[in-house]
Amino acid sequence: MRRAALSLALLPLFTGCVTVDPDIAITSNVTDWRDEIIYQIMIDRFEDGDVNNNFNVDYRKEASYHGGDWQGLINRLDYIESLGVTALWISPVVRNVENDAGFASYHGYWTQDFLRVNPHFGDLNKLRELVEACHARGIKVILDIVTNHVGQLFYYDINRNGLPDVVFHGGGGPGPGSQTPDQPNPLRRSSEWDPEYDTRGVQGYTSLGENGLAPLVWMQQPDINRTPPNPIGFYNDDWYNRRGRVTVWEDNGQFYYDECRANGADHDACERYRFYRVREQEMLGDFPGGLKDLNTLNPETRQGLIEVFQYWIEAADFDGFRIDTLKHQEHEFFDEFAPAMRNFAASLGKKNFFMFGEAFDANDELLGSYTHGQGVDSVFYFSAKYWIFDGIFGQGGATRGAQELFEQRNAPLTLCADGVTWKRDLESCDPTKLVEVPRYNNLPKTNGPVDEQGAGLTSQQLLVNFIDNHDVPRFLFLYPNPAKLRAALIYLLMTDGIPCIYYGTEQDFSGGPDPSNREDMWVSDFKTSGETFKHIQKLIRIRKENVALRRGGMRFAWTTSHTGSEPDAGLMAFERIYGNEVVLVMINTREAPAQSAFGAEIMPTSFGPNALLEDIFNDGVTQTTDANGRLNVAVPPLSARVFRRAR
Amino acid sequence: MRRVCILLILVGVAHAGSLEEDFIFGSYGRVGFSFDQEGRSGRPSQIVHYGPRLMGGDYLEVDLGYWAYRSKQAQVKTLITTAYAGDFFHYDGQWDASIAVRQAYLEAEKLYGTGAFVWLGSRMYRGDDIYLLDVWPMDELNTLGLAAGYRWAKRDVPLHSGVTRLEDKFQLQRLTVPDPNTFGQEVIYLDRQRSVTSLKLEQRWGGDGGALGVKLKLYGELHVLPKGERVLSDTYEEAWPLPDDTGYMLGAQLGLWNFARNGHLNVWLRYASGLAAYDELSVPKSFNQDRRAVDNSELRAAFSGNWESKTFGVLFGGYLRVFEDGDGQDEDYDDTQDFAAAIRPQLFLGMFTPAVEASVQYSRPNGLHPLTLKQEAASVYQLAFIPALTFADEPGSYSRPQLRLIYAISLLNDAALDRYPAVGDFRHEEPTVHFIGAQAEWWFGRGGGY
Repeated sequence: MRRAALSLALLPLFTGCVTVDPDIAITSNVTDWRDEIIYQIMIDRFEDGDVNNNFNVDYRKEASYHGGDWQGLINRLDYIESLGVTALWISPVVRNVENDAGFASYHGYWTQDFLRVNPHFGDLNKLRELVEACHARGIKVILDIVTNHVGQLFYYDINRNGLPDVVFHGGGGPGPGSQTPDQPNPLRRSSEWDPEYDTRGVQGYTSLGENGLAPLVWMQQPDINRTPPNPIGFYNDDWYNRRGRVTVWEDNGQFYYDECRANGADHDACERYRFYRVREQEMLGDFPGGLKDLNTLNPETRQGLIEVFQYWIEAADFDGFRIDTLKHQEHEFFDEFAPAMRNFAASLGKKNFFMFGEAFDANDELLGSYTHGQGVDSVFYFSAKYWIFDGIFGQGGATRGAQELFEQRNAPLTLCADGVTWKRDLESCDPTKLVEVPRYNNLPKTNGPVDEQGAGLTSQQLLVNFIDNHDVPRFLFLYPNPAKLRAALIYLLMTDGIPCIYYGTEQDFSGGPDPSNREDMWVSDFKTSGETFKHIQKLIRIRKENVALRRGGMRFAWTTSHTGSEPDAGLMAFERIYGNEVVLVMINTREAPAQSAFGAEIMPTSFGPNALLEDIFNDGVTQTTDANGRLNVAVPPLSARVFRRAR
Repeated sequence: MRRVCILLILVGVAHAGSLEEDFIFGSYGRVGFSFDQEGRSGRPSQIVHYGPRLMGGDYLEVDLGYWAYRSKQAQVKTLITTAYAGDFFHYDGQWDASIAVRQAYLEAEKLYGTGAFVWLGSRMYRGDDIYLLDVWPMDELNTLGLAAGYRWAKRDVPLHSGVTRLEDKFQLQRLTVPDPNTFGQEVIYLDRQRSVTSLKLEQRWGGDGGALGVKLKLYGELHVLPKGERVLSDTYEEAWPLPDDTGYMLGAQLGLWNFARNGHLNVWLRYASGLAAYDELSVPKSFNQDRRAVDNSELRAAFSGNWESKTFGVLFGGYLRVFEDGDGQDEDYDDTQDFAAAIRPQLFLGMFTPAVEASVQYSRPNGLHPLTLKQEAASVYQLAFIPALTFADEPGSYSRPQLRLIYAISLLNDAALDRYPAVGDFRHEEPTVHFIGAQAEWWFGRGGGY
């Protein structure tokens, strides 16, 4: 600005000038998040729309950049629109450490700079253009963000030699002639980039013993963008937990249990001990791969994160955030972060800003715990992914499990209501503050998502369902039967909550675990003629045409524990009810026909006696309920019948 | 062997001059040292494609040539120009100066006693420049090529065609391939020569005996690059198709001279498209999705001139450059409008020829700066004081050799500072830059006919 006036005086001399407005209009685009169908896109793998940003691209390597970018996505919006999805969840946009140990940051989860875009995908203008182009088509855009950690920006100088090396301790003894045969000296190996968790903080160590907290050494490697973080506030040792990598996860922790039992405690006490010690690791440890865990108990760190992600709402008009690694952060953080985002969005005039998180866990209690208080609006419904999509559709488990899972949403969950925070850490809780709540929050949040009438929606109504995603093997890898996938898709798009489809599902992609499940979308030629593509198109059309399927409540009409040759084995039926509209969804999850009856028991419905129904999944075939309002029909293998009152 | 002897005899017969008369020796040199306000080496503050040359680094050329044949049927010369750019041994202590062969060609003119001429070889092939900004705004080619044409008294019509093949992955890939007799041998896998064909039409009016001269030059270039493919050198996998590419450039120049002592005024306009938006010694940096450079474009408008009397002169020049890269993005930081101008009034007080030079640089992108997220025009204003000794009987703006002291102050706005890395580059922090230096510059005996 010092001499800006002089510079501007020359402006009229030029032709070819394009003026870019640094500010953009902030818009409200969502009527009711339950109307939305999310499509998850890993930008680097979707479409290469600009060869000019193909730095370090190597198609041969699954873990390298492949060239996809925001322009590519813009170019394919017709395809996306034709599929029928209404919201895009795009992978992180911020600048990353370029590569580490032979793996590249094509996925976007290795933040180096919270405020700048990743040049592999375009510039800020292009990102804005993408969001604007989506909004012009009525498509919403959800940004994937990471608040738990940053990329591998520093190492722990355990041996204090100023080099990021691998440190070995011990000689593996005692050997013959050892003077301390009763004090084994095991051989231990630690990578200074990614040492194992230490509850005291990663300790420095030499042959003379431990010497306190290992210093953090921040790297300056601009060639791979491994440089101290931006904004500068994040360049601060105190903003990190510095405890090393998580080594024990919630589904194991036997080590802690055994340790506890060895000290004489009883089973229940040791189960609690195991849980809290494992949760401590999950929340305070570095994410595997040396992704350094932010100390979000530090108020300054929290404020730093709040500011950088408020920036992105304003910078590109996103409609929501998908929050990575939710379960690796404390509830207290989200009780502060989430309201700050909601209020900021509201202050910009953006309504219905939506935040949902990834707690990669099938534990309903853990998932639900993050939805209470003023935390996130919703979570990925991992429980349904494992219990229903894998357990029932993939593995042929009893459909009763789906009903039980549904009913568990309201099962009691004890939390510690400590101030505004609803913690799951009960051990340190004042007993008078223990409260019993449903597993998933059934209360709306201030400035949170609302329905068309402005009434608040609850986490129970907004669970995000998915069959697979970028972190798990694709459904067809685990269960290589496209008919099973298509049956699972029926449930995904007919059940309550918000469906989320991973890109390539419609093209029958079948990649295995990461990174094989992150295929290049362009190999499909973006065909729209495939059976699964058309199937999803049809399901989305039906969902859009029937408000009960989008916004309705849910009541199971038929599930069974039968998994053998029983006539109802594999059948699942539920009603979606919205006002006077009822849609009955009957899905046969197995490869043999199924009947909605067993013995004398026939499936009850809400349609009433002798109601004429049309099957909107099968070209309007009609059916009539019996005099008791029941319905006994056959459902073809791995298919469905979807009834509503005939119109 | 017999043919060689005959040729030598013919040369001997036809050759009329002595070694002294036929030897061509010339040189251009710019040598000096400088400081900034902190005692570091002085530096130019350049934010546009071509900035003021006043603070350019050391550069040296030496021409060695020979009139190898002179008769009524033809006059033939060979010329080799060596060049060096960079630090001298006495500065960096490195005994490793790398000398380039800047030119090596043979030219035959007055063929059959007419105005016909032909040359072949590695050659700088240039028109008029803007001296103060060190740029040839319209016609400047550096190729390994062949030219033929005709020079009338007031008209030149040369046609030229040449090639370049840069040591760059865009044009060249060497691979080591299996060889049954050794452990592999190197082959050239990707071989894309850029062919550049140019045609000049120059017509002059007047200019004889000190009369006002006018010239009009029309100029065009056609650039062609064949297709090729590049592979990963370790596995030969994943061929990257590189399609054929083209580009063209059209330009016009109007010139006046003899309106004053050493007076001249040139104006240019040129438009380049596709491959030709990048000169033949650089590779395109932006492509469309077919990996073609066809959507790049560059528009230049430029002027330069000199007016002087026996005691005072004014040298000036400037240009506007509008560049749009080939990625098709409208809002694009890489699309820029650059403007630069410089003027140098100078006194000729015998050998003492003090000058003042004022210049401006202005660069406006069509997008947001990736770090500041602002669309800001960068500008640099510079004022230089140049006490000089010029060694000529009647010094003028272009008289050399010259010894000069330079003090220059440059004022950079915030956007200009943002052109430098924010971390680790002191230039980012210094909106005012002082340059204090001493330079020698010479040129003489140029036999190149650039």
